[in-house]
Amino acid sequence: MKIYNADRTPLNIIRIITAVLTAVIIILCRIIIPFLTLMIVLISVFSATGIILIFFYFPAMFRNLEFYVGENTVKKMHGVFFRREQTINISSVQYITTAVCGLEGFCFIILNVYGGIMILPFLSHKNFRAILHELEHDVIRR
Amino acid sequence: MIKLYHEHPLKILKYSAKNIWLLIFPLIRGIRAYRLDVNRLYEWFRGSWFDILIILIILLFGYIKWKFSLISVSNNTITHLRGIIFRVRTDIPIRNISSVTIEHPFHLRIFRAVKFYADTRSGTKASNDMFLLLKRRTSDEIMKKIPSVSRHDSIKYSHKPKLYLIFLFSALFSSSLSGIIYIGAFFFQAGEIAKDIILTSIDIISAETSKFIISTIPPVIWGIIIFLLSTWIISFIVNLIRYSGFSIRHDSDIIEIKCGYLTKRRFNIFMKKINYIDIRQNVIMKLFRVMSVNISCSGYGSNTKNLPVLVPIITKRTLNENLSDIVHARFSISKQYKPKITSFWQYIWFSVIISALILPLTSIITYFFPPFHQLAVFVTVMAEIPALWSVVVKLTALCTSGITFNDGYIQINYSKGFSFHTAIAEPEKVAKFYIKQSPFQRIFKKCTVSIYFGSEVSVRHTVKAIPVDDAQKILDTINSYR
Repeated sequence: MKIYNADRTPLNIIRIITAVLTAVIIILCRIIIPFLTLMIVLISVFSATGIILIFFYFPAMFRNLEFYVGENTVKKMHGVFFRREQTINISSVQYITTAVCGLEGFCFIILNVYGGIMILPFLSHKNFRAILHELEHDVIRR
Repeated sequence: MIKLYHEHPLKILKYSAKNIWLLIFPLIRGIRAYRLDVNRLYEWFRGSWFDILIILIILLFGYIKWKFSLISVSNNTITHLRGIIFRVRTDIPIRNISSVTIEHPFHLRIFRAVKFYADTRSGTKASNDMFLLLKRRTSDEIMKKIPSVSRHDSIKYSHKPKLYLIFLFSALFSSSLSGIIYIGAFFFQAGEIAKDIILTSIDIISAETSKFIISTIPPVIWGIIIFLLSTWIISFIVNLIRYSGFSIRHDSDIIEIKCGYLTKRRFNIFMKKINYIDIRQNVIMKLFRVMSVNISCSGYGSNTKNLPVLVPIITKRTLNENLSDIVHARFSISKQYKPKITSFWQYIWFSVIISALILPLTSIITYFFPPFHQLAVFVTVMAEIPALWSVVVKLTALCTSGITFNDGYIQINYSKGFSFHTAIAEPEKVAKFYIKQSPFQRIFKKCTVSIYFGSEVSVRHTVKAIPVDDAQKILDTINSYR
């Protein structure tokens, strides 16, 4: 069974986007809300949420994201507060959808199986090609 | 070398913006108000050049998206590649396809465009796995690679119901609710214009009808009656158009179904991917001993608003002959495991309580709003009819429900809403077996058995008031097939 981890390059991009969004929301609160107390409360809540997401949640999310590709099964370990494990039989995969972007780490594999889907997100180009190579053999050329 | 195809250029509009077609209304208004004059045209252009530029950018964006959308088909897979920055690629192996639908809507026929849907058994909702708008020629090229009922000598079954049967089917499966949904969709898509037209028409019709019919019934009641009647008629007409020209034929692997004159549809269903057969009836159909044979198969009857019908109307006498011809299954009249007649309260309690609760409605409305007495009587009667009908349906369900094992198939007879269903499938396809017992059922050693077959959308087949011992025997029998 081979182990693959999520690429951490998208983490910084997601952090920057979150920081910008948080700043925009805080500025809007400052402009729109006329009541000082409510404004301070909301700004504090949004700032705290932004800080938790940027420094704790997203890094933990990426750290805990692991994929195990075996001969017959694919397993995905994920979750921040609750560790979740999702396992599928490769034989039950009906078709594969992939989404690839030029940026490193923004490669996704979606496995469409009986009764659901499994998404393998934030893969590096190298891992993406390796997983796809293994699955394509079983799913498409089976 | 694998040949790459583009989708039909009409898709540019779809990619451009979801509701760009709504621009047609201001355009029509503009054309109506416009008088042919070069100076006026120049003034108009000077005033609205920015709007035109935005529309051109939207169209250019759609064109680029269309240019990047490519389809290829090999002997093993259909591939759709789309997206500009994110390149999304979907590879569907042909042997995993459950059904393929080709749709020729009448308004696309002049553009020689067809809608192509491919579905597999994956996913959790009844959405299409692949939807493409193609040129007719491209669709034909793709269909060459997909197994179909092509050779005439290989056909094992062929059936084309007579027009009066389609008429009967459309009438039986039409409802005011479906009509309201169609009108709702029309409202949603055409916005205020459609709303005004429909509401004005209803007002005029109800006012005119009240003039001719001398009665004390207020116009609002006429309005409701006319609304319900017209929505039923709309639903009937839509069904009639949809199922006209229905025909079915199959060889050893594929079932081909064609229907519709205005929007022609062709379904290629892979027989091995059928989840279960669903025979549907209502009380009237039960009285006349006729039924409609449906199937559960991903893609058939999911997104095309069609009922997943296999044989629209069939008599009980000829059912087994047709079933064994199409899917080798048999329908059994006798039930191996069934509820006892003494369990009638478990079937009818909800409908009886609802009927009893509706009765004092007139007094309550009249007490609080005396001027609305007539309306209150009308509403009570209208609500009481379906409630009492439901009691009749549930009592019939008590006598007809049950579970049977027959010739290697499991047959579940049950009722849902106002209709009766008979689900038939191989016991190996049972994905979940669920027993539920209420405190009262525990006293009488009864339970509710729910069986789920493996399918894209989870459908529960429930039989109430089965003895607990029988439920265990059913489970053991299912397990013995594995």
